[in-house]
Amino acid sequence: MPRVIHIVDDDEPVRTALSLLLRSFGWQASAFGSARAFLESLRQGDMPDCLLLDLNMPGMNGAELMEALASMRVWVPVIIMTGQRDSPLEARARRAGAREVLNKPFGDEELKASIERALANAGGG
Amino acid sequence: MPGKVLVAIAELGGEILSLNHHCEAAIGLSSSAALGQLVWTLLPTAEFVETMRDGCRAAADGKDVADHSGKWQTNHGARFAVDWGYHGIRGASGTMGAIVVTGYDLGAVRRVQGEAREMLDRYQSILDTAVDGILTIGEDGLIKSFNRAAERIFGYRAVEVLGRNVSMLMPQPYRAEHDDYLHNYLNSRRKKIIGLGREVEGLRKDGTVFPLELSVGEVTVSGGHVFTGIIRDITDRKQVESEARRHQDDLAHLARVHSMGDLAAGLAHEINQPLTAILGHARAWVRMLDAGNPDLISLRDSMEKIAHQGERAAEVIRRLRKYVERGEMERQPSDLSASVSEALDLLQHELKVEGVHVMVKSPAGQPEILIDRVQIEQVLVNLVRNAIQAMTEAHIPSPELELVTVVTETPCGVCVSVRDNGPGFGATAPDQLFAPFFTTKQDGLGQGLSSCRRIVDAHGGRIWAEPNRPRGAVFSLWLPLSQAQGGGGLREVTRLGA
Ligand SMILES: Nc1ncnc2c1ncn2[C@@H]1O[C@H](COP(=O)(O)OP(=O)(O)OP(=O)(O)O)[C@@H](O)[C@H]1O
Ligand SMILES: [Mg+2]
Repeated sequence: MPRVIHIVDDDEPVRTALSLLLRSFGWQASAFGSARAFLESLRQGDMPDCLLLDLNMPGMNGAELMEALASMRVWVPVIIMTGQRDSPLEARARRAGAREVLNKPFGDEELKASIERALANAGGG
Repeated sequence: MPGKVLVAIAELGGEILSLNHHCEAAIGLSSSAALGQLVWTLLPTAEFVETMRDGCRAAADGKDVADHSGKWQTNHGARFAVDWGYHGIRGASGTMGAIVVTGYDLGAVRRVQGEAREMLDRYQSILDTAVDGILTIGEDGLIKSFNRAAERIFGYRAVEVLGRNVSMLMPQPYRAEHDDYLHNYLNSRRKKIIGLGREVEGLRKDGTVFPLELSVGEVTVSGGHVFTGIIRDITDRKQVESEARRHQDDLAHLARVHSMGDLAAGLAHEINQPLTAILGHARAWVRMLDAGNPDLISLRDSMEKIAHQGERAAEVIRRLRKYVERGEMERQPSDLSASVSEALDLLQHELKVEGVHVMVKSPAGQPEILIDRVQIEQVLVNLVRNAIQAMTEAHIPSPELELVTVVTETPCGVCVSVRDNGPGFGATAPDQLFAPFFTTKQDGLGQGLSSCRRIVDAHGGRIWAEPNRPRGAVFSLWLPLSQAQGGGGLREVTRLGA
């Protein structure tokens, strides 16, 4: 049974490319255009093994989604994606529990390593 | 008319018959009082009596007599210089009937000449001390006078140009056209330059072309026309002007580079997005090709997406480059709403992150106006960024931005308003916001609006702030239409007015 990775990014080309890349690693991938759409699928009981989350998004941003997850007591390993290093938003996401941060653009090995670490931590925790 | 002609008519024997009134006045004796006196005893002084007597007798004999110079005298013995001649008059029968003595009062001639010379000297010294070059030409275009300043300006001595065609002082194409101008003017009296001042180019003796301000006046002298040209060398003024313009370009460039820092963060993000997508597709396919089960249709699909994302990144770079490039004021006819969307594109990221809802209203078929697009976009970027900053700092729950373009009739132009629902600028006088270094922000420079005003002023437009209703601020930018058509627009106006 392949691990399920969810992607939340408001940028359609990025979502599509990352889905393809994750599948090429043998994972199963689903993509969401907004935090709201992801929360909706979560409510339907669709729980991923790992979440690849964009930080800068209109409406609810990545940090706010993490805070929402924490308050809902949903525990899912999150990898933050950001285009801006060390932003206040990133600090906020880290406080809300983000361990892994990927700076856009990132390489495939970097992504793979991050996800594997996140999955391992989750498995071990 | 210099001097007066004194005439005395006498019988062949010398007895005076009549004096003309100039002669009466000169000697102080009426014709009737002189009647019968001998012309050579009455008119000349003692030493010239014999000369005149001999002259009169020779004339009575029908001979040609040379003119004489000497002195005549008044009734009271005052002497005056006269040139005189004799002439015998024949009657109808052909026999000699009378003699005429004609004298020129040299004193009067000299007095008039002296006055004329003095006037000329005074006129010349005025011309020569004038700082402006002054020259006159006749109807034929030939130079009649050329003052010192003109010598200094053109590098020619007066003697080198007097009598030559004035077109020698003009570079092409003026040179070729000047004779036609003059000709047309004399025929049609349609003024192109007469009575008006304007900037043209001059040609110095050393071949350099220089800018000059020329005003031309016209004088009618005994039926003919003389044109006076007053010339001011404006090389220095032009230089100062172009330096000021360069300085302004530098400032605008600086302001752009300053705002670049902020823009760069947003733009970097916009480049990172396509790069992330490109890397994703490419790496995924390397892996899938290695695995050896390529689905060519989806491979082609990925390639298409990669290319598309490459173009997206290139577009961001293009925009960025255009924004920082040092722009000389370069005006082109352009649609203002195109600049509005370009400015919004540049700030797309900031707008998105701050969750600003943007509404754009622009009428279809807007007239094009003559603007430096890069600079006007910079103005719009400043206004929109200020609005975003104001709304974010005040934590407005649903920040809204409205950009409305309207065409104005009187005066003709296009107006863009940037409307926000932020905190507004409170009790601050709207105009104060445009002062250089006025800022209420911790890390603000207070340069944004002042550089906007400088740019808009340079375009002949206006920029102002007003409170928005029910809350927020409106910054409006108006640019004139007439600039776009240049000369054409002006012609339009005159035609309408005619
Ligand atoms: N839309 C707006 N709403 C309220 N206040 C505004 C708005 N736009 C400008 N201001 C006020 O005008 C001031 C001057 O703006 P300006 O753009 O010249 O400088 P700045 O934004 O403070 O600094 P910078 O040089 O970085 O642009 C601002 O500090 C702010 O107080
Ligand atoms: Mg500003």
